[in-house]
Amino acid sequence: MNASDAEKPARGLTRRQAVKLAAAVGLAAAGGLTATSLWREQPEAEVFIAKAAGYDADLAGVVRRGLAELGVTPAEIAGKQVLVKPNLVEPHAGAGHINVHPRMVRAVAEAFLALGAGAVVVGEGAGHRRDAYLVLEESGLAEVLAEDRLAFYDLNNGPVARRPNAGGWSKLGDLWLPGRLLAADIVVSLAKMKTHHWAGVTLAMKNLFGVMPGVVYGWPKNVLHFAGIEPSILDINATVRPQFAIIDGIVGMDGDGPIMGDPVASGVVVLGRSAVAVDATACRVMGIDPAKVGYLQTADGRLGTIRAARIEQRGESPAAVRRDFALLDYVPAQRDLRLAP
Amino acid sequence: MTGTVLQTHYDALISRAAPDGSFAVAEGAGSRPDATAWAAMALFAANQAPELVAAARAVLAAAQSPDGRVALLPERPEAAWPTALALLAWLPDPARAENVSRAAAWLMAHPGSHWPKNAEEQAVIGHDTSLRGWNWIDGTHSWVEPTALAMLALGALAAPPAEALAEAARLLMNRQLPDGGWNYGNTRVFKNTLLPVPESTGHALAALAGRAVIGDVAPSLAYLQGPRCAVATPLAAAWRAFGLGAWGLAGQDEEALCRAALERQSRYGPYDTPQLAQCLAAAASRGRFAALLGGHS
Repeated sequence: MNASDAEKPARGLTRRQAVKLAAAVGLAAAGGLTATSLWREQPEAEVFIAKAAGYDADLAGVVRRGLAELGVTPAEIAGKQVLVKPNLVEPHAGAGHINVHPRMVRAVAEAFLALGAGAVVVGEGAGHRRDAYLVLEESGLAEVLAEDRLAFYDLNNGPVARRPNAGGWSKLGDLWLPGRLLAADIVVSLAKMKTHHWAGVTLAMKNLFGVMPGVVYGWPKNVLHFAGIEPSILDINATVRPQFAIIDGIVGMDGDGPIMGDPVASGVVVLGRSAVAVDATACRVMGIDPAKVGYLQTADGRLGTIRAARIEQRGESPAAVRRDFALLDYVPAQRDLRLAP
Repeated sequence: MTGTVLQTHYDALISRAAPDGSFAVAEGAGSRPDATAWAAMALFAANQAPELVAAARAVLAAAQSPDGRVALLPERPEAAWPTALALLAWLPDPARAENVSRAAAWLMAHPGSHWPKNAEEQAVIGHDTSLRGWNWIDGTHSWVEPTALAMLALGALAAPPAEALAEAARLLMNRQLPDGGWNYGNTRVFKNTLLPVPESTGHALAALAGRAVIGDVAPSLAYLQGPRCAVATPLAAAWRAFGLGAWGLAGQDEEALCRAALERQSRYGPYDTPQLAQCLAAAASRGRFAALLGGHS
């Protein structure tokens, strides 16, 4: 199916509407639900999962297909300024599983440019490093950016502007955001599939810590930690509202993430318009129950949905590609997160 | 003094000066105290545009709050980490003695949050949380770079606060990683020892010169001299030079690395002003941080 197919009428409905209706009817047949609950139970988000055996795969093709499955059309993207925010928290030599792979960044840029984006830029405000360009070098992204002539913005240091906190879960008050982020029409949270020793998991929502400028929030963005990691995640996502969430799960990280954990070859890419639903799906792929991850549970019904019945899975099913990530019993945030078999 | 290659970059820096003496944080962006302070230090170290240096110092003075702090933004007074930078920028100018005094008093009254570590925290983090240093944001914990910058600023006063500086030095030594080097300021989280990074190692070594014996920082000096830190990116190169320079170990290689980092703007695009100015200052001074303050050793 291509992008335009997604909106073709089918018996007076768009294809997506028809699929949703079919899903709802299926639920009604199975559970004898009333019309009112049918409406409640219809899918509210679409998430695409693709297998990708390695970084040599046609990743741009994977992302293009995923965006098409989400109904993204050239008309939606044409001329837009796209900011891709990869997770580059702290590169270490020989530890590529810490950060989004440069080829995923390239694939995402190519996909949006193919849809007619006016420009794609890459922006990150690494949590532990002051030298953003060293981050680019050590992550391998510098070479890709140079080859593809993609601009990079250090979100930690540049101009900042104040925006009302649209969440209100933390006591952060107004949020200070990079001017370069605010100038973008479309923000893409491009995350790595990892466990996390403070938050349980770090996926598309947690990845947005990296847009918070260090000049205002410090390194390692200590203000956000003092305000509470989970409330801060929720507030940032409520305020920034990324248009797309993409997770590089080709090689993820389990155990003592986000930096010191072990590589996990999951071989998947997960993407969608809702960071909440994408994260919930990624959790299921990781063998983690999203309802047991505090900030995802809180986000459910407010910033998106984590409920399987409300997420229309495209491509692979989470169960088909599930690969349980190791969880550490001595890390409180990771205890009791396991999804039932 | 600065040579033709560096002059091109100094010209780029000078072009970011606003009519009021402040410096834009990036090309085409608004001004900010951190950019202004670093620009003033870089220009002073190279004996460039003295009228701009004076104007920059005056702008920083105008931005100083009555309590002595210099905040990043008037609406964000907690982000007071530019106070140490302003103090450094003012230090060579006797006319700014009163500004220096108030900034120093604010720093002395606002260390990073600190507390005796309990047993639960002991299992999670490795460093001694009871030691006082300085923080990025008022009210939060002490970290390596703001502690180092405050030490460099307060240590250059006519009457340095010896006790506070000694405790800050203990803090840095406590945060030194077992195999040498520093990161932003954590040594261990749960069961894993964290890894060093060049820029933080340079900050700590620059601040510890004269406050630690070389044997105690030898692994860190070796790390900073090693190939993993020999990268031509602006802050890593600048603080590699300043860190080694503080121990008499910086030479032409360090200066060349800074120059290479400056040239890499052809690849990355223009650096933001603080990064540009720090790299320029390190190159022009050949890693002698004292040159930013008018010193010669």
